[in-house]
Amino acid sequence: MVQGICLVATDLSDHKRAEQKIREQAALLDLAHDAVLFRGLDGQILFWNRGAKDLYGWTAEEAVGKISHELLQTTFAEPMERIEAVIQETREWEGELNHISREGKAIVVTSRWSLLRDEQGKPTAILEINRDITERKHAEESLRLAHERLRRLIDSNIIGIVIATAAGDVVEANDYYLCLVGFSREELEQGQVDWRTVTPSEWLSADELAIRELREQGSCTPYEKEYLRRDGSRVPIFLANTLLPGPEEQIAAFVVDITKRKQAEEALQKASQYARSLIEASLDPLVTISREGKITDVNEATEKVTGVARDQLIGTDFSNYFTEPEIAKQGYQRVFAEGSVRDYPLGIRSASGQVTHVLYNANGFRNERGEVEGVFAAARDVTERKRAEEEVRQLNEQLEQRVAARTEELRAVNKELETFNYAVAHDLRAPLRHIHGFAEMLAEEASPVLNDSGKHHLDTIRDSVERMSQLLEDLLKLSRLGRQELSKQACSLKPLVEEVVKGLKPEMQDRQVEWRIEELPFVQGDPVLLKQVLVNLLSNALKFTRTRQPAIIEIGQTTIDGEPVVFVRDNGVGFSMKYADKLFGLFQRLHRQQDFEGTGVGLAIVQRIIHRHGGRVWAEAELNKGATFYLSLRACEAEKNELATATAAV
Amino acid sequence: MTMDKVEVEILLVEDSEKDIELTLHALHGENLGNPIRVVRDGEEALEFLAECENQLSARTGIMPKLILLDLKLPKVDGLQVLRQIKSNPATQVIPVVVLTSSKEDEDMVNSYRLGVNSYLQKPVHFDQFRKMVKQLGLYWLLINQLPSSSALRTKKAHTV
Repeated sequence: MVQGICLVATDLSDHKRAEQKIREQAALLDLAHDAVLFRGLDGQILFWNRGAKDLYGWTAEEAVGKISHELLQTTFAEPMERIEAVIQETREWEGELNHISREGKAIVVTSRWSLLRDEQGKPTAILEINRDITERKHAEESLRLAHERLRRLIDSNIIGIVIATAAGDVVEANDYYLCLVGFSREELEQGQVDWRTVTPSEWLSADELAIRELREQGSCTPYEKEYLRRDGSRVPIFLANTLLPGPEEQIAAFVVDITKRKQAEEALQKASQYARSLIEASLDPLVTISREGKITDVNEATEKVTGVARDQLIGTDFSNYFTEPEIAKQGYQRVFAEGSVRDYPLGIRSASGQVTHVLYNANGFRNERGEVEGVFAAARDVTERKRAEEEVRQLNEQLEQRVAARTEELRAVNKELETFNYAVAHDLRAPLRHIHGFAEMLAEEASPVLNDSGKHHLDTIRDSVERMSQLLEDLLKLSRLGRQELSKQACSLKPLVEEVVKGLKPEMQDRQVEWRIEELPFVQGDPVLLKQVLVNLLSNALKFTRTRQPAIIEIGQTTIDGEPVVFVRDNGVGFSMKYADKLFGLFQRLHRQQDFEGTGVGLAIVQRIIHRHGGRVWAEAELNKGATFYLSLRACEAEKNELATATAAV
Repeated sequence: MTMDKVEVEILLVEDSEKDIELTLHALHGENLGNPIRVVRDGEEALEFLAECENQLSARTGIMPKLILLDLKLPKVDGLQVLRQIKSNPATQVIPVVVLTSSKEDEDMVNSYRLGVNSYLQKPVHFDQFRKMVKQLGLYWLLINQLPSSSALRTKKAHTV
């Protein structure tokens, strides 16, 4: 705005003339965009152009006359003294200033001051031209800030950041990266770091692929590779690249050291392989079954037994491969319901039709949430076992047959013996009867004419017949014992003994006999036969104590070698142990007939009966001191053996 | 032997001569004066009994009062004879006493099953045999009661 021109007629001071000139020039200056102002050396604003008004908001009227740095609230970047010194010296100064506009807005300007002199060279005023660089300043600040943030990111060394060319030169890198590749910052600055040189040859193709992708699409899929350090060690890394904008092609890459991850992967792989190898090594067919009953995994053994390849098996119904699919289905359903199944029998039918009998052990397995995800089943091949069982069964059958045949044989032999016995009984007795009868008749009828010798002869004949008859009876008894069926039952010995003693009463007439009957055990045996044993032993005891007053006969039990043993002890004439082995022999006697009668069969009978019961019988004695007979009766089941040994003797 | 009119009271069925001699000696020794008929085998025994049956019907004879039967006989054996005797209504009332050497259970059981009235084993000892015969004669011929011939004649048609 042009000020009013004040024309004064008389003399204009130089000062005023200068002012005039300035004003004329000011009009021109109004056309300038920048803020232009004059101020006196004291700072008072002398001139204020339109640009200044636009920039600062003050009009010329408001501004002229004010101290500029007060009005504008100037903040100097340099100290005032310095600025003055520069002005004095060079008559110019340039720098940045911060001003506050009329509205209070902060403004940054580049300011150019020029010192105005008069003709004498005396400074009169300062010309100040300000260009608004506020925006630019802001932009610069933003940029700086952005740069700083980026820098911070890079230098934080959380991951490796590198900028390089496709050819390999590393332009920039952070410490993480340098550490990774094993170079120093000095070497980087000297341009010695090249990513191609640290890449092992086998990985270069991966890099080429990535670079191609980069060029085509601007970024590439992250990938793994390795760096080979100068110390020879390899480090596995994970790499993500992007192309940077700029005149030259530069690639920025984010690089992460994945050594730990790799190690973890390897360990996991090893463990997984180990687990898998165990599964594959199992001789038992293993299979996993889903809730829907489909096969989800198998091992080699399963492939073998079904004759179907793994990929053909997976996804198919588990029950397809069995002779009884319904039963198979029920099996895994039971696992889902109850948690497990043991020894579940099934027949696996292979593709070729062969059937393998197995027993399944199965368990449900859970996922990480604890839910039952599927069934893990292991089959134990029992074909061999079944075959063995079948063989055993057949052998048993054969054995049964053979036993039956043998029993038949024995039965037949027994029958023969029966017949023999019968014949003996009948046919031998008759002549004996005759001899006896006729001898008797002869004795009676010829009595008048017979002398003593004759009578004696006849007596002898009769006695011999009687003896033979007795022997015959005893033999028959013994033979019968061998063939008789043993009817075993629990027998109480004491009542049996008492019965026998009662039966022996007639022989005890006119005798002093002391019976000491102690507690006796229960035994397994045939009561009739056992009674016979007791009769023989007790009547023997009675017989051989005939000379004793009183006769003392003890019947009791004792334990020998942990076995219960029954004994019969008497205080009779006893015998010498020298002849003990003859004691139980058939017809063997240790006493003379005239001293003690007997056929020598009684003890043989006792022995036969006790042996048939699986027991033992033996005796101990001393001449004239009495004898003790021992019986051990064990429970026996070897009846067939008895039958066999009995056929050997009559 | 031909039939004579003597009414036989004891029928002895025995094949061994010596046994016959001994048995007769015993019977006579005990003064049992009953008429005795001896037959040597089962066939003869049955024939004789058949004849007696006829004679009984014709009122010309009687059935024996006692049959002493040995088991070991030729042709028709003792048990067979016993069976026949006891299944024929005419003869089944006659007491049969088995006199035998055997004491085998089988023989005894079979005899009793067939209805024998008594079973005796001949002892070897002659005196014992004599005693046995005396007792048996006494019992079966004097103490034991038998129906009369007329009773046998009239009642024989009744079924039991």
